[in-house]
Amino acid sequence: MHPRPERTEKLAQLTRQIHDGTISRRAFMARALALGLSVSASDTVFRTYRAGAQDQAENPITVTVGGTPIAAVETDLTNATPGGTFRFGRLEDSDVLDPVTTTLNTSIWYFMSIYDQLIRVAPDGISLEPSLAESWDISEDGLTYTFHLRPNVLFSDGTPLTSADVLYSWVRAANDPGQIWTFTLDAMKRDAEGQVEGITAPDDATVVVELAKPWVPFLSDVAMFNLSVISKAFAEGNEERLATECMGTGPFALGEFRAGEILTLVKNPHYWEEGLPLLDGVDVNLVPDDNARILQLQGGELDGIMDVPFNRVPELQADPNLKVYQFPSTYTRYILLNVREAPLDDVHARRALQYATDRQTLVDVVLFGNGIPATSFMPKGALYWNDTLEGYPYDLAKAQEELAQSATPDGFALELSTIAGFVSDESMATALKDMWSQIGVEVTISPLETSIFNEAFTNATFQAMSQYWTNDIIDPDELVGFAVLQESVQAFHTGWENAEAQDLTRQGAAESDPQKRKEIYFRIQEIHSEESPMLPLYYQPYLNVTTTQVHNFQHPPTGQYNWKTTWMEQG
Amino acid sequence: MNRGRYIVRRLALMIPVLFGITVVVFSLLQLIPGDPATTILGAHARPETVAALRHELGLDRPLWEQYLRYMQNVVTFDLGQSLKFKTSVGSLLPGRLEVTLALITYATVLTIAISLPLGIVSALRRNGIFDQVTRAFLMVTLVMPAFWVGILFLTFFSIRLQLFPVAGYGDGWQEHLHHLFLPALTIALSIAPLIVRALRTSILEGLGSDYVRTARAKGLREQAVVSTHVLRNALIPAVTLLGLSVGYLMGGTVIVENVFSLPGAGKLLVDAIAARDYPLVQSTTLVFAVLVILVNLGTDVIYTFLDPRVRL
Repeated sequence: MHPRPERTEKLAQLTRQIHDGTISRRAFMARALALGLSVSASDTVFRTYRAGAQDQAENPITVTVGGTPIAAVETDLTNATPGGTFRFGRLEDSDVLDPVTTTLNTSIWYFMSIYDQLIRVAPDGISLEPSLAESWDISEDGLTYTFHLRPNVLFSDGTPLTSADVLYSWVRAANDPGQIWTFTLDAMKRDAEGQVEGITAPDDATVVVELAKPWVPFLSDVAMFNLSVISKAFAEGNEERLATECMGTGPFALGEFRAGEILTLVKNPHYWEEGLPLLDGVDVNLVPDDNARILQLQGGELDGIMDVPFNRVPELQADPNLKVYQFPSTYTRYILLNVREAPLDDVHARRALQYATDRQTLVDVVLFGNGIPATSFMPKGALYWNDTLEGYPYDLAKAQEELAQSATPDGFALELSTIAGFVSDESMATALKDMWSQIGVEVTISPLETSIFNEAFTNATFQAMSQYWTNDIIDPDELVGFAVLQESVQAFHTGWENAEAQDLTRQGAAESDPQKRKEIYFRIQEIHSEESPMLPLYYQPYLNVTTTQVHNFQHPPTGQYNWKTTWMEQG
Repeated sequence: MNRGRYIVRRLALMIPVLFGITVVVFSLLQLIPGDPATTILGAHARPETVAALRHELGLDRPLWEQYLRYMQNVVTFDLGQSLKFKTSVGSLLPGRLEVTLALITYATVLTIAISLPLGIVSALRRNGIFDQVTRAFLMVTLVMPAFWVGILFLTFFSIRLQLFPVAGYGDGWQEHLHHLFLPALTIALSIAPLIVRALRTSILEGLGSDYVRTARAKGLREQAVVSTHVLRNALIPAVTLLGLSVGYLMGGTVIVENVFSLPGAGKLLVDAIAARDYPLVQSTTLVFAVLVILVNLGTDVIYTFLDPRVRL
């Protein structure tokens, strides 16, 4: 085991304090200089982490009641009345509640209230905080991570958590052939048969991981759902039960999961955070019809709903008995361009499309105003989102100029693939068809059934395609790797190859200096924007609606609902 | 040939029909584009993970082997493992099937309860006020789509008047009856117009026929003429239509299941197809096929009670 590196640990502490705003610039500079950093390095580190905090202010949560904004997150819980079951309505069902073999957000966003990980994403959505691990050390060479578990944590059946449960859960997550979240475990050591090695539990309260290479996103990977800690006694030898049953340390335990009907969460009496959760339980009801779901909320049968069609938002905002929430998400919508063939292989043609896209109108028409025009392919407010990137303002003259420099100055025909029956896609594609016809680009909209759409995507048999992204981890490497690297997915299936961007991506995954990392990812976003293999359209918030009796409803950027501090007025 | 032997013969013939159906469904699933692994993994899928999942699901085996493996399981009543839910189809299907069958049965009962009196009275008081109002009303309910009628019922009877629950299936048969009433009524109102029409027409035909004139001449009271002679014959086309409608309802209840949030088999099948969940689609279709065949058999047997001329 490597000795604790004091400098790294202290610096990490200091950067957390900057971000939380609990340290002044002068105090930080004094300590950083004492640690041996240069003046300019200290200065940049400070500004980086402070800027991260400020980004949040520009991407706020908005909550309105009857059209009037109110305070978003209610941190004052003194008047909170505990108890009651929150009845929630959703559009799509969960598939599998096993953190390792699951594939759908509709499962993940709920079992994350049942399972904890060693680290979790902080409420701001761009930093990490301790969860089941109270603290951790990273070796100088970045290869060894030592996690110190929080003492006295119990599973919801009363059995104690030990490092053996973590070991079991992590080894299973790395080795199980049915799991698809392999990208997070790329850096782990593997033996000759491909089984993971290097994860050990020297005592009941410690877990050590030795990586095969330095991998800066590792802590974000630890916070991801596939490394949830499952009770070994519950699951070992009987792993099929995990599809429909859960045993975790989270604020809630699984009540029951009746597929097609309801998923219920019940308060975990042994939860390690004192006094939480406030609710007795959450009933997640499946209500597939949009109208029925809204009717049930308005009629008092439900306390909250998600999957709200955008065209109903104005009407719901006008209702004085309802709270309408817009939470910043990492949801970004793009048009992917297959750059392997003409005319899209010409960067000027692609830039012409960028300039000819009126993003604000798209937001108004498709999202009924509930969204933000996109500049970068990374989601707004995500870690290292380039806030200096201007993107392409709507400018038909510039669009014509770019097109004139391309191989097809008089325009061209373009096939745009969308998902059939998906209303947002349909209105977005129609609007784009109209916009792009102004520069001579004739769009044919091609609605495809979901399964066929996915095939066209993975086999890159599309010309232009409507797609979206949400982050699974806070580290930018997930999206950037997917959108830039050639291996596996050929740059989000666009076929784009740029040597500089690819090199920078690999560097970014190994670079531990936050300031250098920020510069790397800023540059990648610039290059991506210049070359435009994808047209970022807009950033879309998470829309939820509850009654006015519900308080402190939270939908964090990672999407995983946080019901811990939610409470309802009784009576 | 007596009825008992006829039924046994029909049931025996069911086996080759079902075999044929499994071949057709299996082939169709393979023919339509889209593959389960890619569909399950979605946008974030990498080729390595897709390949690994295909291998784990046995999708890279030759087609005849996949079919044979599925059939081997079916004859031992193992309906396979759902690709999407990762649990056995046998644990998923019965509960959902119960809801759909209860709904279809309830809808059939309501259809008969509505159609019989309306059809008879419309025929007997032909072109009167009752007949015209009934025809107009049923024309409207025939034309209005189920999801619209369903939402109307929900808004009015469930939310405003609070007479019925808004969603779900409930616990215990009393709650089931209560929860299923509005959905069953929605379905009944879309089938009843056809049955009423058919009944009305065939009753009118019967009333004008020779044997009825003979019966009247014989001195039978009008009521006896209608109930003993006319009705039994008039029911035959109506029963045919009803049997066909019920068969069509298997899997056709999806829209109503959607609107009323009922955890039924129709929605299960539609979602399974979209997810390319081959075992779930194949097994659910198989079960539906059995039920449709049984309904057809039932209809044919009912004929023999209605019309002595029908020889099985």
